[in-house]
Amino acid sequence: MLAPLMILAVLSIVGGWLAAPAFLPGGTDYFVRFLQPVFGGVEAAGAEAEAHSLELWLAGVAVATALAGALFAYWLYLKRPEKADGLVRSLKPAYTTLLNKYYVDELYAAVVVKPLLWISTVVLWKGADVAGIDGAVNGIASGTTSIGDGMRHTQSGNTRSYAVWVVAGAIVVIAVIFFWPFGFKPVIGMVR
Amino acid sequence: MLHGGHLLSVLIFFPAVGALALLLLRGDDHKFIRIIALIVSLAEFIFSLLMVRSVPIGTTGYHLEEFLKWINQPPINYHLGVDGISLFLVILTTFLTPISILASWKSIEHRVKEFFVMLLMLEVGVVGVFLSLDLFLFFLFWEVMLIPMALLIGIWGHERRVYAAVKFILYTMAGSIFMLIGIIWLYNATGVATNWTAATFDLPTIQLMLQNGSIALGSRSEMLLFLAFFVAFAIKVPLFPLHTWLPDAHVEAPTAGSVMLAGVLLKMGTYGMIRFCLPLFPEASRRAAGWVAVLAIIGIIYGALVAMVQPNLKKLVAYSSVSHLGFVVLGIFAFHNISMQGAVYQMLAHGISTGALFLLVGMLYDRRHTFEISEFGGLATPMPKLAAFFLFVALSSLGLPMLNGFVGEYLVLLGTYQRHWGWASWAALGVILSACYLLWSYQRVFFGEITREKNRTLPDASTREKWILVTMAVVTLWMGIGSTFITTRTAAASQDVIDQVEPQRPYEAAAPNVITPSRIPPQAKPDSRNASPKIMTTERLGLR
Repeated sequence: MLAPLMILAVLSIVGGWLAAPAFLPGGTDYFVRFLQPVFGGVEAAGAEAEAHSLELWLAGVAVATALAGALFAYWLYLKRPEKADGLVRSLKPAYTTLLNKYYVDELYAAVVVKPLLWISTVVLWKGADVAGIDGAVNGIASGTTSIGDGMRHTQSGNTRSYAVWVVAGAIVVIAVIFFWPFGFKPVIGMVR
Repeated sequence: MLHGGHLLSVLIFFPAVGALALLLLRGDDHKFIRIIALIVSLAEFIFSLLMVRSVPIGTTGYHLEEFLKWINQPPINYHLGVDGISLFLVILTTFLTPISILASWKSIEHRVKEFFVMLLMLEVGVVGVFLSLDLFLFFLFWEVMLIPMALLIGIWGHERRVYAAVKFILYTMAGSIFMLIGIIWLYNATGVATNWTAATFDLPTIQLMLQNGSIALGSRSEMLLFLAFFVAFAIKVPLFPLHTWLPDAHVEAPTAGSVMLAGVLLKMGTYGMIRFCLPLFPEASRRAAGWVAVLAIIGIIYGALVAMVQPNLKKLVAYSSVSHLGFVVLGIFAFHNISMQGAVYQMLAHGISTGALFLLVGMLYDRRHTFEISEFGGLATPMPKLAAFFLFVALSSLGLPMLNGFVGEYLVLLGTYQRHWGWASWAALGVILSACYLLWSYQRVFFGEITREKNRTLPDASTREKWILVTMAVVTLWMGIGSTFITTRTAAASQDVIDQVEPQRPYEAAAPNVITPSRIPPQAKPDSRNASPKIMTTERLGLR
């Protein structure tokens, strides 16, 4: 991992000079020049002085802030390490909140991730998919099997029970032919 | 009509000849059988590439047509043809077959000869489905394809293979019965319309008769016919809530079976929607589009959520197919050229990337004989190469730009958004969720500490596996970068389908009493506004 870091370090030193601020000697903004064909925008000559002071001011504030932070960190962690522990103890709630990144991850886990996983597992997968839809599909299959299983018993091979079925069937047919109560006729040649 | 020679017939029956040759071989020389099967399937792949030349860019209609009288009464013809849409689906099939054969090289140890015979017969059925232009011939291949697939699952599958095979075959048959009724109804209608002088099963003829009004379907019978075809295709896709055969079939099938099932068999459903439902029953398609889109969007989100919580890695990939195919159906029923091309592209991309995912899951199974995610963990340490390929394929499946999944999903969302922005917004959730389930499962399988001692010594990808995976990765990358090679060829064909669903002036056609331009109802206006950007984007995306 060292080699990529070294390349990036070198580039970050060199890179700044591509857009050097104009108040520095030889400060030519190659980057703006590079983008000129796209954005146009050569600033008016009068505004140049004002731009310089603004540039200087912004750069100053940025450098000062960075230096102050570095100095403070140097003092706190290297010169007086016991101070840091004291701060942790005195600002305990603030410290833990910051350490846990304001608990944003935990919030997401509780509000979004866990409910979504629960719904997906219990409601959608095991409920809707396995029990609901697939249950209906398998239900049709097992229903068909049990109907067939029930019908199987009519084919017993027992001649006397066949005779009973013939008699029962004849009675039903006769009853339909003679006593059909409805208007339409399900059997050709019906009496009524 | 027959200028193309017999390339398409060769494509359909060459694998059958190969299968026949395999049958004649001795069953115990496994290596020879594998090599012969591989050579046959590779030759088939090269033959299928010859089709590309014969489908000129920007042309509609069928090419390389073959027409032979087959049965006199009822008049069933052997009518084949290829257009921009079926072209690449056939190539996808012929590409995945050698890959499947290579993937089964080591993992199939018993009944080797029969296994490769079945794989080749499956190819016959699938290629036949994509090339048939006669409804009866289409139905025949549709059913032919079922048998080898069911046997592949039922004989060479995992523990619950017989259950899965029976479920697969019954589910699909239940749907195809409706389609058969629809086909007979259409045939009967052509008979009645021509006074039984020219009854036909011929798809282009029926399409023409429906368009010029020789066959006049009432709106109710049109809807019933649409549903008869649609249900058969929706089961195959599978569209929510007709998808429950899929997790069982995918998980129980051997790796090669899963690759073919996810790679090409599911696309037969969406292909059927494009080829039959939309052009034959445009009015019903328009009326049903909203409902179909709702089911597709439910499928996208529901499939992704259920995939996310699967403890079984293969089932996870299976449910992800439900989600991805939802995009395809949505793209088809948005009736926009871009989304239609996106749907076709997504079919191809899903075939490659989900096929590759199943290959990788199969490779893990070969090593550990389990699919449980909890049994894995930290696998990137013993097998860095396999882990790298898995990540590549997972990224392509979740739609990383420059890889194939992105093109399909993006085109579908782009086209759908222009017609129904609400649909596209809901569907976009699926893109996020696919990242969730793929990356999360990747993390649990390949990253972290090794929790099982057995996993510490697993071998990395072998040379054969590397060849398979490199091939898949190259195609994935090529489809992500060189997508115009495919979209230029699908553009005209998909615009043709759109034109049949929504003719140039649909409101005049639908309501003949309001022809004068001043009285065009207000809802016609958004459509006419859509017309010009549609053509412009077609040119930009498709025809250059």
